[in-house]
Amino acid sequence: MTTGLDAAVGGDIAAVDRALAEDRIIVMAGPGGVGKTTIGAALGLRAAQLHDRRVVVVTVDPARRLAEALGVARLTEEAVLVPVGRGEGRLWALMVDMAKSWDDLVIQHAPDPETARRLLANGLYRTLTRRFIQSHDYIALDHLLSLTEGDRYDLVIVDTPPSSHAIDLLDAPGRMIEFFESRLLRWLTFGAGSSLSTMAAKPFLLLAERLLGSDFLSDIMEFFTLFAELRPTFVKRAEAVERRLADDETVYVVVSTTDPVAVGGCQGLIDGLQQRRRSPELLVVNRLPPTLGLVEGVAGRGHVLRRLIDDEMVALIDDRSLAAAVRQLADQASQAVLPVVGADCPVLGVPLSTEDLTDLDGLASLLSAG
Amino acid sequence: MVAALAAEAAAEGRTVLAVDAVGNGGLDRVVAGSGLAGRFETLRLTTRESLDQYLKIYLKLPIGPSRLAPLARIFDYVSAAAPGVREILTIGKVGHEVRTGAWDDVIVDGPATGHVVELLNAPRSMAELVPTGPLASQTGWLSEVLSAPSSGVVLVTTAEELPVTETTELLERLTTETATAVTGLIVNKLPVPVGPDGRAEADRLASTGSVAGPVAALACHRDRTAEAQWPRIDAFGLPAVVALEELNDPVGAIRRALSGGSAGRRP
Repeated sequence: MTTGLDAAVGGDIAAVDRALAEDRIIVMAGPGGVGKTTIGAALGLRAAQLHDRRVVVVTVDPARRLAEALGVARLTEEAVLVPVGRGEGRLWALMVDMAKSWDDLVIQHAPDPETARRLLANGLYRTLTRRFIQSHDYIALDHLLSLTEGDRYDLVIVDTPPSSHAIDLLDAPGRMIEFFESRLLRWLTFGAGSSLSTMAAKPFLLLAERLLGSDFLSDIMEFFTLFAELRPTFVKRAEAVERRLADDETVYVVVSTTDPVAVGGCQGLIDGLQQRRRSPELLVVNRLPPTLGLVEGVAGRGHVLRRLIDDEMVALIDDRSLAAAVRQLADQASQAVLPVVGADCPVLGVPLSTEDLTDLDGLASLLSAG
Repeated sequence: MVAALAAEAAAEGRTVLAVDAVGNGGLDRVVAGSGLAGRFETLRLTTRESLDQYLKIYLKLPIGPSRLAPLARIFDYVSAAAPGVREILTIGKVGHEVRTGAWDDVIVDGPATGHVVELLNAPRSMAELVPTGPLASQTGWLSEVLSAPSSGVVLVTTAEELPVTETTELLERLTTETATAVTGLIVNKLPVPVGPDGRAEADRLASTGSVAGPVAALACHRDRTAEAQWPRIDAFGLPAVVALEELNDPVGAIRRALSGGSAGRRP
């Protein structure tokens, strides 16, 4: 029987299938903690199982559970084949090792092995590439380039790291270019610098020396000087990544939950895409509780969450403790009733699962429930 | 959480400073949204502001370097990369406020799991990284403030598997790696417990295809998930305060729990 609650699950699975049959590159975007990695893997699995495509899913999250669900022992830098069990398609999964990817890039782009060796040993380089979240944004996108070269894969799905602001992701290559092209880099790399640039750097150096001491400062100076050597090739690379992100082969899937903070983050992301004359291809509202339904907004534009629980439903329950618990969920639902972004794209609701993800069937059922 | 703690302390007549160490303005929004504005002071620390304050207090620089745009951008890169710079500026400002003696309580809304260890260890890391210079000489008294009996860490978790696992790991790290004592635990956003009769009724509703079936099942699932965490939470061996999830009044729920209302005990 169809109840109001069944409608909570839903959205446009046909639009998802059209996309999975044709897309070349999917960038999974959204705030942290909304399930981007899992949804990305579920999309990849569906493309391989139902659309016979050769898919690689690139994750940045060392999600042990996901690896287990995919039936592989561990996700590594090397793409591992996931046994999908049906169809002609193939699914590979790989995990980006942030530190190793940066080291590889440096080795590849350094003018000579000695520069690479010194840069890899530099203390500031090591902290930047291992801890600086902006460097992680960039390196995740850099994988887009290498994986889409050649015809090994039909579809590349890239998961992205949890940025503090989801929109930062879109700017990562631009910021990397800005960093290399900036006066700051030129200021700090004297060697061939004019006396004028040395003058300009002076306030920073004085401040830095007082603040940090001279040992650390020399680490900084060495880093900027060495990094400047990589500039020409690196800027070219970052520009290629930027072009790739903007071209028509790359589409964006935005993932949210019904949590107001996550919805706000997605709104910013979608606005950012629209400023770039792009729109997400699909909006996934993940972990949709059975108290909420997804309904189409005014004139078919956007979607809103509708509360599917009311006093009448609470009144159906006799037991006091159960009624109180359901009342609590009703409050939760009333808090979550907000428009889910004015995205002009298909929306898919993925219901909140009360079971742990343990295998491929579980992963596949996430989307098929729609 | 910090807003609720600060409000309770202020209600007892204490002078309170609540510090937003993440600097994203979340604390101010909660304070404004829960009608607590004016009950206690708040301080929002962004890295740039912290640097300006730091330089003003300790190095007696007349103007904040963040006023000079290019310098501020360089600082953003370096502070994000250099181990401990951001942390030392934040904890240094907090320590300074403690040392002024102007407050009965300084309550800090800390960064996410993991980073709080770096924050508390910042004086030590800084002393290792920069053995000489003004930063190094400032770190001694700061370590004393952080390890004083009047300083402590209160852990906040929800009764869900991943948060409890993260809290377990954090407790272990705080105990072994920092000199600051862990003094308490708050279990927040607890789902309403469902009794055996309620569970039986939920099963009945599901099997008869009632419209209330899925919601009742979800309510039971949330309760069972939370219940499964209690042995692990008890194993922390910390004095715990338990607050039910009340989305219409989250700060009030925690305040009631703190002041020993019925929600303050484990149901």
